[in-house]
Amino acid sequence: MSTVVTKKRRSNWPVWLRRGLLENVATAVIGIGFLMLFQPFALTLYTWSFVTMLAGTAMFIIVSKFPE
Amino acid sequence: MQDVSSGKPVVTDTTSSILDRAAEAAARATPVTLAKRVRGISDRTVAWLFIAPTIVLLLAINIFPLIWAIQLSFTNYRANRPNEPIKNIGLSNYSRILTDTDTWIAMQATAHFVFWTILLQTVIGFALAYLIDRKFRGHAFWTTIILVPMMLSPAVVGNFWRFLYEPQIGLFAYIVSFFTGIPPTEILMLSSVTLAPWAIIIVDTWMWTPYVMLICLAGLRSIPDYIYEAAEVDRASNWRQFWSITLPMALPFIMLAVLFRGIENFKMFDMVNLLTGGGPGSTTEVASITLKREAFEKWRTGFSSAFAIILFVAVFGLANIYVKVLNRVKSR
Repeated sequence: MSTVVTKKRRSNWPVWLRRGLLENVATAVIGIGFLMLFQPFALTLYTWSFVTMLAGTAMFIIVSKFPE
Repeated sequence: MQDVSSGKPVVTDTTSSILDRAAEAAARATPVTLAKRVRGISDRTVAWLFIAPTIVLLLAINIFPLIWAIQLSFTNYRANRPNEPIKNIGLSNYSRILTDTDTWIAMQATAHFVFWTILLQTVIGFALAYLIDRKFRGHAFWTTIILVPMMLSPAVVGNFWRFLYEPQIGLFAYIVSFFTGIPPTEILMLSSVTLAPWAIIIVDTWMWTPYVMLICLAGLRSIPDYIYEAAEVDRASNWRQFWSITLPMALPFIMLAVLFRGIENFKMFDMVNLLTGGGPGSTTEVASITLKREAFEKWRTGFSSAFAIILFVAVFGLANIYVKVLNRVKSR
């Protein structure tokens, strides 16, 4: 049985706009937002937690469509 | 099957004749009137016809209530006053929730519950999985016994743990009393401010540790034996094998279990409601209990919708991380 070798087209997107890196950034933003929501230290952080999580989630949805 | 030289899929004569015969048989079995009616419908249309009921059901049950809740979260709507005019109040509900100290305390109670349950479940679950993976005599029997709590309904678990926690007749108080010497009537697990959060943590850990154990066991069983054999050849100690092979290779599965339990415990309602109902005071009032009180006791539907959307975004964000970890596990 032979193996099928698929040629991947090289993307013209800049390296910093690739999926892997930006997904990690988005995950970090979601994680920070989550910690801000749960922390018991500052009400200001709690206030801004939702916006942070929303931004991270929106970013994750968008960048997951970017090329590898 | 594929052609070695060209790489194209090869359909042998035998295969094609079997397929032809099956197609002919199917065509003969189809009633003439039905065959006439469906002739001309493309495969794509047939596929859409099959999945359309599911999509309609999903839209009606999941998507529509979500969109409605988003819309309500911008209003002052109260479900117990349906005739009152509904005013659009913009982001006021969100701003009130995110500056309110009571909801902040509820979030902290949720964080306390989520942190300790996940920590205990992961440590105990992984330890149990490590033991079960040794394949000792009767390990299948013990696996089944350990899995029993997970199979029970949370309503049943909540009710019988309430009896177990009873200071007068409960078995839990008597066992603790036997080991500590404290009179059982003083062990008020569900009505003490300091003990009530731990009572819920104990029940959730008892119920869901087997689930974490199952995921960890899958991770441990996925490690190939030849890696351990190579480590044996290199004279690696058991301790070294654990830290350099077992733990790193099982880590994506542990992460998966942590994320999955994190999402579930973040939404935890039934067990807390049955055991303490958020009390004493508001010490065990986790986010979902606050949400229920706002929606069905204070009837602030718009406010509770906004709170539900905030919780939804948090869970959705966690779910994204969960999918990312899952993809990493799959690619291994």
